[in-house]
Amino acid sequence: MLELREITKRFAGVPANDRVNLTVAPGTIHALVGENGAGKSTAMRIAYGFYGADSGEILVEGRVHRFTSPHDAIRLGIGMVHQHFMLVEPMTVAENIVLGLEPGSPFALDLKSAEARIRALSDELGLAIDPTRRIEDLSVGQQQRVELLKALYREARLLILDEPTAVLSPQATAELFTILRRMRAQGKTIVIVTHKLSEVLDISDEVTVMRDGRVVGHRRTAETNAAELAHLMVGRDVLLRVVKPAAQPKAPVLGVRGLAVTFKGGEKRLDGVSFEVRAGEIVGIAGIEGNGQTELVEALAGLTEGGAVSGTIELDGRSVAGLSVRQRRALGISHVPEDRHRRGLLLDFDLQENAILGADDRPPVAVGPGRFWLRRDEIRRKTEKILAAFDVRPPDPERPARALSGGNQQKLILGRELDLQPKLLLVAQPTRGVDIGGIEFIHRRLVELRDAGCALLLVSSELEEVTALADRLLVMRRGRIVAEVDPETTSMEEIGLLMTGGSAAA
Amino acid sequence: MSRPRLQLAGFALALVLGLATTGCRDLSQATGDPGKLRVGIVFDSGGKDDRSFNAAAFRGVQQAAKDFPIVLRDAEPGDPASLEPAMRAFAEVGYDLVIGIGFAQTPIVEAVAKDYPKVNFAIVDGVSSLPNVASLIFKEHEGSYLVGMIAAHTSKTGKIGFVGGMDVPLIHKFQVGYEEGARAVNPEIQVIQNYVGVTEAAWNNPGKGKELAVAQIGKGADVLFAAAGNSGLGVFDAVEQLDKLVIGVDSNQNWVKPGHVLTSMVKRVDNAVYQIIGDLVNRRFQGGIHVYGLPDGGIGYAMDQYNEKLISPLVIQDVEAAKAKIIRGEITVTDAMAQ
Amino acid sequence: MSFLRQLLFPLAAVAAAFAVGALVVLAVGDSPLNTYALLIGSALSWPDGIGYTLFYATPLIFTGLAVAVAFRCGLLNIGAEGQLYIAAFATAWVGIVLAGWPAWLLVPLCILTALLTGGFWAAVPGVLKARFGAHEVITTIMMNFIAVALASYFTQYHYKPPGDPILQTVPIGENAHVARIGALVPGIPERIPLNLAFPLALAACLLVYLFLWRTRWGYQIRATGANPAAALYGGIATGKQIVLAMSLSGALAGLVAVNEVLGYRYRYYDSFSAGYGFTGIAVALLGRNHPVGVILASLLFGALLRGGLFVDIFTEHVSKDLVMVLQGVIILFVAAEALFRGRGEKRVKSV
Repeated sequence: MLELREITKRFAGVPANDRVNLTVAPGTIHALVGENGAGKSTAMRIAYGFYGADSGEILVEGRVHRFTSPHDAIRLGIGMVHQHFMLVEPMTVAENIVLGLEPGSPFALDLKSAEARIRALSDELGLAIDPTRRIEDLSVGQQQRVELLKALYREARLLILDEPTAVLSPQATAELFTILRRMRAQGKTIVIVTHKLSEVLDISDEVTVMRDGRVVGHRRTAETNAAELAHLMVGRDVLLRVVKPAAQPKAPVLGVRGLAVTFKGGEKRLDGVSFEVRAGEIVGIAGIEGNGQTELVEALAGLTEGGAVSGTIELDGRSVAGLSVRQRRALGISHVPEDRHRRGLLLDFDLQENAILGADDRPPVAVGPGRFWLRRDEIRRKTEKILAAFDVRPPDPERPARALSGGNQQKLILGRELDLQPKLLLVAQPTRGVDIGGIEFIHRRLVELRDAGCALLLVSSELEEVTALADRLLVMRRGRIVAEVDPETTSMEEIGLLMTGGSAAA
Repeated sequence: MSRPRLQLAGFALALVLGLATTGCRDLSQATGDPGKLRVGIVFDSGGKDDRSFNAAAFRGVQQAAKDFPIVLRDAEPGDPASLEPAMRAFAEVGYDLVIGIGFAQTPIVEAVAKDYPKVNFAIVDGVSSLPNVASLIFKEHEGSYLVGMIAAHTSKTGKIGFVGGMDVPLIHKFQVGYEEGARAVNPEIQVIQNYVGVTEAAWNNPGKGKELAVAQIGKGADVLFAAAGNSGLGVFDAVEQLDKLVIGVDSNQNWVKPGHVLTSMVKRVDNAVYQIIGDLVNRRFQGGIHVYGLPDGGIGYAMDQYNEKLISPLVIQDVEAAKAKIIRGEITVTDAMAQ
Repeated sequence: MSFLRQLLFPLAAVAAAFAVGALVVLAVGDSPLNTYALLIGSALSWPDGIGYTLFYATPLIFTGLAVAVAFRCGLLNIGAEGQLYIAAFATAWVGIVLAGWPAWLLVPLCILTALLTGGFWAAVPGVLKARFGAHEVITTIMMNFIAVALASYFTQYHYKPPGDPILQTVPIGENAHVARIGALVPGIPERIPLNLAFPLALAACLLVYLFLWRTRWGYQIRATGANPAAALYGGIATGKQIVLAMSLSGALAGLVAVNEVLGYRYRYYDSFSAGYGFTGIAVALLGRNHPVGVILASLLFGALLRGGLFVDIFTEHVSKDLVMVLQGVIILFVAAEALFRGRGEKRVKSV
């Protein structure tokens, strides 16, 4: 169906794809896996006509084609669902789907016929999408199905899905996979780009592994396993499971009671949240993104913007609710934010200036009256210590943070926050966009931190991650804690049901 | 830095240095043939196309450049802060005569003339006591008196207007002379007067000039005297639209809106600058005060084919009689600046 | 090495501007070679050319620094023009009112006035931004109008010498004068208005550099500018940094008064600024918001101002708008480079 031959693509001289060969058989589900920056998305964007390749050929159904834009790909029956949906929120499903090829005359839009066709397509696959509803009223999973419909409406026979499960709950993921299997049964071909090995093994017929812009392996899914794929992706053996001794919780460090965050118009994004975190334990928060986890962490860190925080937050029995970010940091609260680009780093600054973010007022870095002067030698010493301790590569203190890979950026942040020897670490999405090797490292450090007696509050949308790391697991839904479960004994399915409120729909 | 880049940078540096050295050596050459007498003129912020005061000066120096073997360069600084650098530029490269147009340049000419005692300067409308500065001044009040008489003779409403540029003593001189001339004809006449502004920008705001003119016409004025440089052109626009009459200033502006320009109070700045350049060429240049008035034709009112039908011979007779009396000293017009 | 690389693009922009300028000169019918020889020759002639180039560069260093400091905090200070006007008037006022005070007291007092007035004038938009989120571009522009009008008003109705046709205040006391370089260095004529404000400007560059890159306050300002969300996360009170950066920016713009009032005209002169505050934006852009870059860009723009005057007067057809063309092309190129870099990053990120 689709074949890439010797595709090479450079950005500013750096090869993102280096002689990539990929063959997708018709009527199969083909997984393309690799670490971040391995070149998966680039290869797929070339196949979709979004980028032009510097060299190499694209074959569709055995014939060489030159793509100058996605239009060429669409004409040949290739559709793509991007990780970030390209939908106009205030418009209806049908309006979004016909956008760009509006039926009827230029003056009279014939939506009726389009709606009928969309309904038919939807029923065929059991998508249960009403074409007259507005996008903003749909759940994330439903929006993704609209994207699928958009491609099918354009008569796509090959569908490329870029990280489709990143935004989905386990239930929604399962549903998506059911739909994809149905589509395969109808004769469609599907390429799914992902870095989650469990999904690859679950859904795909064949799998191609990329590393550093090259294809490093191609397997029939039935003939491989997670360990082999991980080895191909990283280039060495990787420990996939978190190994941790049983927790030894001590005195409570963080006490939260009746915590609520109210926004304009009385909208409560956090409501009546109470829990405690003890020294030497990891408390995990599971939940579908957007159910109050972000608000919870920001309220604890003192970063709530535009909302009113009420309730009790105590650190070692002392209320910190009214304190500034800086004061909380001084008391021993460290924070690994969920969005490291937006919040955790000064991307254009070098690693040294990133290493003192949040600690610029502490000696020996800051000296003199009012700790006015910064000592460059001390900053450098501190930075080099962090880079060495957390294996940040390359360990060049003068590089801008932007130049680091996601995993190394995250290790820098973790190193910086742990260097402050916190009593409490708020850590959100610690391994988002981090490659497998980095995940292993970060998980190990978090467990070590726990065993050293720190209290950790861990928020992650990766259910596997929270269940593996947490000693106790709180499930959040719609701004409330709806359950506390033991991650050892509770199944993913049960937790998933708690996250979605028992209904199957996401 | 790679080698080709280094070469490029070296080349650029060499080019700049080369240009700089040629520039340095030839700065005097590049600023006009030093073998000839070199004359520079600095207009005021109105610019040489104001069809009035600056334009008159420009005509004079152009004529001089045609008649004498001189190099002529002009500067139109546009904003008052740039007047001094322009004047200094002429002096710095050794020009023989630098002419400043407008009273605003008086302190500048004085400062520059002190720094360059070997360069000759002339200032129009200003007075300096430095030996290397010729002060070219005019008896505008006497000319204004005559056009005031014509205005009073012509007005049907018994109301006439005066639109001044910047509110300064020099322009009060025009206004007072104009009023006295009008009263001499019609003691009951009402003179409505306005000024465009209090800054240099007042010379360059035709919109405001027009606004004031329309307002004065609204109050009944049917003859307006515009002593406002570029802003006066707004007054011309207004009288054309509302079918009234305007009196031009400095240059003969009768042709600007034919049929609507009653006359112009001409101030022969052109003659004055032409003469001072002629003095320089004939090695007769002298500092000090040079006054231009009615007897020498430095001041007057303009009669030509554009306005001959607008003014009756009787009026001209009366005005000419007054002019003779002023020259003989039988009529004394108040000089508002002398007070 | 990396410093040279930083210079490369601005230099290329300048070269490109001169190439475009040459075409313009050809089009109006003059010789580009002669025109540029006149431009560069007059800007670098000794002593007047160099003296004036440095004199014109001085206010641009101050305003360029002012814009750069604000920009480092993520703020676009369009109001340097108003800040320098109000500071110049206030400085002149102190120099007039306290004319009898001894020089060792009066000069520092006048400089302090320039700093504080300019700083205050810029702090207002800073507070409005930090408190209410009012966009500083709008508020600083508005403050420009207020500053110019206020200074003109007080000059016209309270401090103008009676009967003076020029809109300026009475002179400041001689004790408030800042010495001209010509009075201190033999061989330089005193007619050149280059004065001690120039070394002050260089000192300001050094201090700003130390402040921004060697102190905690500077770090916090830059962090706020680079990523306000991350700055908040790091415990930096971003609102405070905005007010601080704006005040500092305004104070630097206010120092133009030292050059213009205390060192050149010895009075407040209405509309004395040839758009220094706005040219400062171009200076900061070309100088990459770095003190050293600001000095280099100011020298270039100062030389263009000086040379532009000569080109304007002494060529047949070329007007000083040539300088505007040169400045415009330089800025266009520098802005285009920023655009290129932005695109490049975006693409690499989406790999």
